[in-house]
Amino acid sequence: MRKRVMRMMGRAGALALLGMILAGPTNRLWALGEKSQEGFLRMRTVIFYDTQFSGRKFKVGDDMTVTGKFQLLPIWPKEIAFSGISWLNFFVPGPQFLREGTWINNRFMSCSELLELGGTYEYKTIAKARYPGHWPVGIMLSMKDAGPLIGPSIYVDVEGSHEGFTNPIKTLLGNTVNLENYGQSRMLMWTLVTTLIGVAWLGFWVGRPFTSRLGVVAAGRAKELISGADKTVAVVFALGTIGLIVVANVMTASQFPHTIPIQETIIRNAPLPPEPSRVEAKVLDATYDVPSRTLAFRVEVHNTGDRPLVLKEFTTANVRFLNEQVPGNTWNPDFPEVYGGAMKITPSEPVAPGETKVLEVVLASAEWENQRLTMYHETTNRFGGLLFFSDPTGARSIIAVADQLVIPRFGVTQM
Amino acid sequence: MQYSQVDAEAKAVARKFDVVVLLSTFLALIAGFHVHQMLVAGDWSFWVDWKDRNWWPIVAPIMEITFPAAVQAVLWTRFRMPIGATLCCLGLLFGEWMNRYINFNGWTHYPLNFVFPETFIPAAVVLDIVLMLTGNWIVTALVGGELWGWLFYPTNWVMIAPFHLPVEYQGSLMSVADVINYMYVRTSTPEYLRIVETGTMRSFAGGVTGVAAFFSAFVSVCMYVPWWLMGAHFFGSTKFFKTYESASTEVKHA
Repeated sequence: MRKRVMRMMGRAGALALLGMILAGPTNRLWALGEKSQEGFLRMRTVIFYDTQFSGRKFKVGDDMTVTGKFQLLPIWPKEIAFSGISWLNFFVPGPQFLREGTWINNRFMSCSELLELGGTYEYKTIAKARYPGHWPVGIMLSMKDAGPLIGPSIYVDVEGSHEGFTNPIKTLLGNTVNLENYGQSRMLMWTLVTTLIGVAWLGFWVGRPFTSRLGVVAAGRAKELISGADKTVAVVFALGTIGLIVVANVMTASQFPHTIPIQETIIRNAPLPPEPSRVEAKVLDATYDVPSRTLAFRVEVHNTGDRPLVLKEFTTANVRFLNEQVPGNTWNPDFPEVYGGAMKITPSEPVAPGETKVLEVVLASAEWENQRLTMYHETTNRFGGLLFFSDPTGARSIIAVADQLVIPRFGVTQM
Repeated sequence: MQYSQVDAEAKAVARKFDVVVLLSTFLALIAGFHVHQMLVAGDWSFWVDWKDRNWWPIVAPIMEITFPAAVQAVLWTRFRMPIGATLCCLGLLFGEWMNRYINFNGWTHYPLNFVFPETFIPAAVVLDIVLMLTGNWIVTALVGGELWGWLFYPTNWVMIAPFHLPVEYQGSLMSVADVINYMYVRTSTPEYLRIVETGTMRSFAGGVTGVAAFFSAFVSVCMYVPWWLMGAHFFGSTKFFKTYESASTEVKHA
């Protein structure tokens, strides 16, 4: 008895839980899933930088602007196909924002674009808040055959109500339509009409005894089950249905004489012209110390400019490490990326014009583990990212680290 | 108790049993056919910007004549009921609308004009009627299968025509469907993933829809045959049941 009561209570609880999940509000999302991608994929394909979101609090109807740059690293992992056919996505859990437009290198992205390996691109996306809630939003480059390559993201709060929200656009025929419900009543009416034909046909037959027909058919008397009148009704149904479709199409053709097919093409988009670089840099070796969660690498730097240079930042997989010994180079909580921590650079003095020296860069951070960037678990133990050098005027030189092997140090002797 | 009273009660019980059988079949078809449809032609059904004039009228009818053919085989050969295709397609439409209204619209806020499903019901009624009038599944495959393919696009064009109006959006030519796709963000389906017409049938002087419908009708005929046979000889088969005579004495006594 007790078991039965417990079982019943368990079932009731499960049902209540299911009901709460189904009926619960859908205006909050707690996770994005970007860390589910492998570390090498995030570190060695596309690096986003200079990303800025225009705010974190909006009202329904407000515009949000996202700007930034990304580089397709010059040595693409062999394990991931590079097709170049790309679509700069704005990710959000459903259309809680409307993408009004995305521009890559000042060119409107109306369709997928062919981007170049090693190229740097500048983008802008404008999105309009549509539904109230607490939403994760971000930038993502989807590439054909390679899949989604995720950029920085933030959580935004949208206040207000969706009620009364409209999305008008003007067609080339001169009329303005509201995309929130355009064509909906026509679609519903036609669905209803055609469904009623089916329901009427079904009703005509299921109004008769059903299972007993099995015996009549088995007894070889199937012909008795369909009469001449049934056949007449069937002919009327068939001709009526086909006639209705013909008439509806004639009416549709007169209502919409100018239509175009779905537009599909690919546009080539050339990368930004290369910025003048004042530095040559090459990573010599790299290790990852597992117990202290530290990536360390040596980089040979040659200053080809006429001003001293410092290494200000290393960015990879939306994690930024800053050289905080440089005045003003500190973390700003408004940055959409993850703060990896401080970079330790030895020697810390700037690289003088014409000088060549080897810098040892130490990046000790729990984020290697938090962001699942510890590559010794993966089949390809290489890292990539962007090194940002700067001279006293603030002019940047960006060097891509695209394919550097990492040796893990486990810190214990294993038997 | 009068004989007529017993007869009336028997009829009432039989009718209730009919309802149970038909309702269970309908629910099973909603589940089975809807899952099948989502797996093999889902995106063309989900999104208005996938409803093109080339791939959609090819893929959807070919993939969706399957269940109607099999169910027709069972209901026709065993019950002489010409409702197999209509029952399937009503079930499919019901399942699709539940999905689009609750999941796509209710949970994730896609507008219904972006995610409404296609309808096969007129073609299904015609397919059932062809079977009923000819009484022959091969003729139904040939004539009904052709009509199935040919009727699909005109049936649905009535709903999708407004979404093919031209728009100049940010200096680009797009259809209304393209703009809806662009604005109502679909993160997991970037634009290049759409399987829509890319201008590869220009040798037919732009007559894409007719060629697509012709091909679709031809393959629908071909698809009808194996699915009818599967329905007639597997789903509708009673060979797995033992006859009363072959049952053991113990079973008979029980």
